[in-house]
Amino acid sequence: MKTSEFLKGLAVSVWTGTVHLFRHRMTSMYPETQNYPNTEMYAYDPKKGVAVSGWRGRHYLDMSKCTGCQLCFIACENIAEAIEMIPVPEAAHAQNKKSIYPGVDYGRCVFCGFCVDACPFYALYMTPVAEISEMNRNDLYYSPVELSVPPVPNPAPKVHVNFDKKRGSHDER
Amino acid sequence: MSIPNAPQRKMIYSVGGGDSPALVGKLSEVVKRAVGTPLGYMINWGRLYSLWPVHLETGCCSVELGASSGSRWDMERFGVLEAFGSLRQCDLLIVLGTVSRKMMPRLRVVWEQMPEPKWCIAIGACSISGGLYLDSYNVLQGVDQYIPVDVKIPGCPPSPYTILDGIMVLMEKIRNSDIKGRYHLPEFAQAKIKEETAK
Repeated sequence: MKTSEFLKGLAVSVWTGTVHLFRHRMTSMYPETQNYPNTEMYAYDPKKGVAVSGWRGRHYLDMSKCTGCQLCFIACENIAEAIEMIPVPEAAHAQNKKSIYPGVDYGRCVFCGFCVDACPFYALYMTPVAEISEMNRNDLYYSPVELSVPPVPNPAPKVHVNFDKKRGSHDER
Repeated sequence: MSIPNAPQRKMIYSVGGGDSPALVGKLSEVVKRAVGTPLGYMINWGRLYSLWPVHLETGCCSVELGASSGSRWDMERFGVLEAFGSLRQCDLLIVLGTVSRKMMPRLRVVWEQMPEPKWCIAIGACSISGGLYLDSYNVLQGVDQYIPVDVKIPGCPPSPYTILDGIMVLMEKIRNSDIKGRYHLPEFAQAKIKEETAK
């Protein structure tokens, strides 16, 4: 290798380093800020036949609308067998005479959203809550009562994401 | 065969128990609090922010782990390095993807080579519970039946946010463990369990 080529390579590497000092930071500072669309829930409108796009995370069950028709259970039976109909005798709703509600095992769930598509009563949604990792296997079983708790919005400040063709997506500062 | 009317033998040398002699119990407690707790805190602080992982990549979850260790979701902010080096200096095993019956002895060999204390993370539905391969003849239904898994990260595959959250759960576990790496529930959780069992 010639000495001129070596010096040129050295200068180029130093130049790229100095340029990156003044550029926007690529890293999303995840626990301090949030940059994913965490307001929209993944939902399906059975009358129009249109799905509302959103982050697919933990489910949200509206117990006052669920009729215990087991359609979500049938949809999941052929995919992951994550949903199981669990009797909740404490919840007395008129439309649910057997009082059975879906409970989800997140150890098996693959977050495909077919259970939300199958629900004809606007009872099942998917929330943008992605923080569901646990230490024990049993904590991954979510009972209907746990699913019916509405998601708590993340208090961390939201950051807008810029999509750059050259450098990829990065947070706005 | 036990003698019917023999007196029950008490645990005389049990440390810190109710039946133990007062001096021994107190001395051990004093030594634990004076030396063990701050030393364990310091050592755990060192373990927390320098986790050296081993990746056992058998499925598509490894792509998401590659994304989360890239520059966008920088996993090195939490001290989790990328995969390199030998198994004998690592302390975190990350199982990604389906573990078949033939893969399990290799996983066991990897796990046995790592020095104590060591932790294990299972990522994805396949490694937690078998996932979509629920009727399979050779895919194991969860690796936690064979090696101790500390944190389960659900998803198929999980997003980098979920992986980073699982790493924070593992850090919380290390923070609450003693010098030997054994995990103890924090006091509020113990009180909660006591309340639930009393009901």
